[in-house]
Amino acid sequence: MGPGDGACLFGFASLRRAESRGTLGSAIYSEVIHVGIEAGENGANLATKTVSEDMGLRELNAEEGRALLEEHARRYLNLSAEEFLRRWDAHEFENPDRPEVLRVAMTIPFARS
Amino acid sequence: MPARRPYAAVRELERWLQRTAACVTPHKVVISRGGREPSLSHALPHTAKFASDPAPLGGSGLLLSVAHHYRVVRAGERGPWRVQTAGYYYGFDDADGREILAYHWHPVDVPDVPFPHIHVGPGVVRRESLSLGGLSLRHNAVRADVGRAHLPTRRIAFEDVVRLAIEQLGVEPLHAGWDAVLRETRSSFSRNRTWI
Repeated sequence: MGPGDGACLFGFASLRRAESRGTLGSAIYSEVIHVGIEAGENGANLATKTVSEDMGLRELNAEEGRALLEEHARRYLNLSAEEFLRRWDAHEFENPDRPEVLRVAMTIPFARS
Repeated sequence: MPARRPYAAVRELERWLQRTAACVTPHKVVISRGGREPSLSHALPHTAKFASDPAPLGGSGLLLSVAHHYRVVRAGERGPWRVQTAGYYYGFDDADGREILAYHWHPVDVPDVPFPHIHVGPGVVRRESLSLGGLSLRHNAVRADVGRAHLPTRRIAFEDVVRLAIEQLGVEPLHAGWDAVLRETRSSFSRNRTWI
């Protein structure tokens, strides 16, 4: 596929249908974005423009952040967020660099910032 | 990119992350609460990751997991504001949720392993091979020493991970301009990005 092919692209139609917009504070966001829709001869520029129209990332609030940590802790370690944090703070994970542990640990700032 | 205000510095990070990710996935990146504010010296870093993580990548059956830690800092008392990378986790999973490989750098979270490294996960072994051996998908058939190892790397840019996905792992880019976007953001990375 090249720039001259005039389109893109994987699942574009469904992506566009799935787009939903909302606001949280000053951040404008959508859960999914569509890019390169009409990538023609100048695909790079069009793609850049389309994406840059929607660059503000959504900042999760405290409740959403805790929910994200809870979801990760349960999915990867079958622990509650509270139990994960307790064990993490107590250095009880034998190998904290294990991917399943670290994936959850990297989410801690969402719950504690 | 240095900026006069913290918010503007973070906007550059947001723009970079979302543009790079958008080459392979429509999933949006979110940031942790207060993620546009200056970092306090002993506070946790701010974090950016996919709202729904891992994100499926088209054409490959792969999923991409991203967590990017950063700090918003000032160069000197009156200098410009910058966003400083404080750690990362970029990993690929297979369709069964088994990790194939993951680039890590987490000097704060796990200070015993301060250097950037890559992990080889159980997903490098094809599921068919496990079936032939009568093993479940939960079985880790990677050599134990390699599976535990932190294989040293240089610091990896997110653009390099996305390029790897497209050029070597069969992921279909979402738009024809992906190469130009990655070149541009990677070039900006080399010029402006700073690390703790």
